[in-house]
Amino acid sequence: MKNSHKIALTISSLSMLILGTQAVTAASVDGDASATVVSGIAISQNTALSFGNFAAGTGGTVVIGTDGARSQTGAVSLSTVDAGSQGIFDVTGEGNATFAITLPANATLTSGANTMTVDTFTSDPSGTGTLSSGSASINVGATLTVADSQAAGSYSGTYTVSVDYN
Amino acid sequence: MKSVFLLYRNKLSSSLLLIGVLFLSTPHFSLAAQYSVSTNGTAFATVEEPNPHSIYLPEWPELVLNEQTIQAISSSNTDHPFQFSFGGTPFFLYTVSIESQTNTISSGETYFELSNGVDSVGFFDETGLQSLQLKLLLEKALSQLTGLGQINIIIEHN
Repeated sequence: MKNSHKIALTISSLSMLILGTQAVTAASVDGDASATVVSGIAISQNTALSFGNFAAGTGGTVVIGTDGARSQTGAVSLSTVDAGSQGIFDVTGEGNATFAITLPANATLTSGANTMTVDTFTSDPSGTGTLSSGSASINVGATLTVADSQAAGSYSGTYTVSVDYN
Repeated sequence: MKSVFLLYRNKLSSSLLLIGVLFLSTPHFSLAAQYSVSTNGTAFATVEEPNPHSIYLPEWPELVLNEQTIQAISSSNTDHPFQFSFGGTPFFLYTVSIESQTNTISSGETYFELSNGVDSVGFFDETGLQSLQLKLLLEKALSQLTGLGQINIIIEHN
């Protein structure tokens, strides 16, 4: 290789080194990166929704409020043997996060071949709850429709409560 | 040539580093768990057998007697009977007590007594039904009284 070529190659290499060095200098920026993984939301039943004991008579409704208060309409006679209670659900998740509550439109209680319909579900809090310190409780009430001469027996069923992070 | 190759390799590494830095320097991001959960709650109810022995004391509403009601009960100003009935478990003891807030009726004393020869404590007969008459006794003429009065009739099994 001629000396002139060696010199040219050396200059070229030095130029690339300089250019490359400049590019690395331009890239030395401090970047912050962070990630937040929130706690997953969870729900579990604490207390079952109970309409208690009653005599059907010619029918009517039994209403359980979100505070557990029970009332009736129509000819239903409420028994003091079991006054019923509201449903209570425990929710856990990210502290101070809010969540949406979804209640079912209706549910069915069965005793053998006999059924009763539960609807008009209500909750406290209603619609949206807050996970104060990462936990919250949902109180659920509903209305049970009792038919004329509803067959005696112990009725049971399930209903679905959903919670979503807002 | 080896040194030139190393220079190119270093430059490539620097470029990749730059890309990495640029990627990491994007604005703060979160890995939020946006999801929902559901659970099945249980619901219960017990329908009692419809026999006479399962008649339960009704939850009596408060009886509110206002001036119009008193006037409607009787034109007399000294004796105002008010008939009421209630049910319970046959052969069980019951107690009837009266709570009144007569101090809201001014300008005259008011008190109550149960009549019809039935004591405030008794047993339900085989029908499980009982009827009592409540007398509202006013010391002064109705026209002299003003205000509202409330009577609570409390019936309990013993």
